[in-house]
Amino acid sequence: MEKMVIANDPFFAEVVRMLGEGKRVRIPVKGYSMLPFIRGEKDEVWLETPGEVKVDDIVLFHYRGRYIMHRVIGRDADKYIIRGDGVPKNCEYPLREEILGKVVSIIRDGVDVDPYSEKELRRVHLWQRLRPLRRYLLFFYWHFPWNRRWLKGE
Amino acid sequence: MRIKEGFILRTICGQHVISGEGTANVNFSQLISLNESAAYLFRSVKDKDFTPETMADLLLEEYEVDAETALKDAKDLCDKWIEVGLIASA
Repeated sequence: MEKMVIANDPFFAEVVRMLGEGKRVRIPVKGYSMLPFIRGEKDEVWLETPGEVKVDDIVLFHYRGRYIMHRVIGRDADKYIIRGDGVPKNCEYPLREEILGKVVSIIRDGVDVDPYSEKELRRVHLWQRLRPLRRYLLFFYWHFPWNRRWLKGE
Repeated sequence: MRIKEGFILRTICGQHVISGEGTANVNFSQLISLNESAAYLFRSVKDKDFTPETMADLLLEEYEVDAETALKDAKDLCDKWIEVGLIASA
């Protein structure tokens, strides 16, 4: 079956509406800004309404007119500090009301993975400590032979 | 045949799409797109038993099309819906 393309804004508006009704929503992931923990065009995630937002949470938020799904790395007064795992430098600073959903499960190769398990968070924290090297680590990640085909969309 | 439980027709940005939906879960990772006439048929036969002939009759009621074309289109659509797992045999 051919791939369906729906514009981001109306798609996420519908996702947010469903979350508002208290439903869990499963969506495919686009983009590579959450590498290596969420692989765009390959993994899927289950979202729920965010409830309490904590450091390490992966959240869907609406920021400067765009829907983004990145990880909370801190808080500054009334704003959250959020950065993609695959982003070397830039952060986003949404308000709580701009955070619309929280990733509660990642589907990797068809298997549900708890993004907040002890093992998963150990890997996340190690990855965060290596942030000065992130650009180079991602370069190698992109050039692993087993990643190259998927990242090229083949 | 019958449309399986848990499939909901929505219109997102003018596109008719079907998603799998339970009472607590919505699956937007595998959306099925429908054109206008397929969406009309989906709405008409949902929660009912139907055959390609039933669908062809519905097309004849709504669109200016000859019987042969309507039946062919209805059969093609049924095949496609079976292929994507939308239909359960009655």
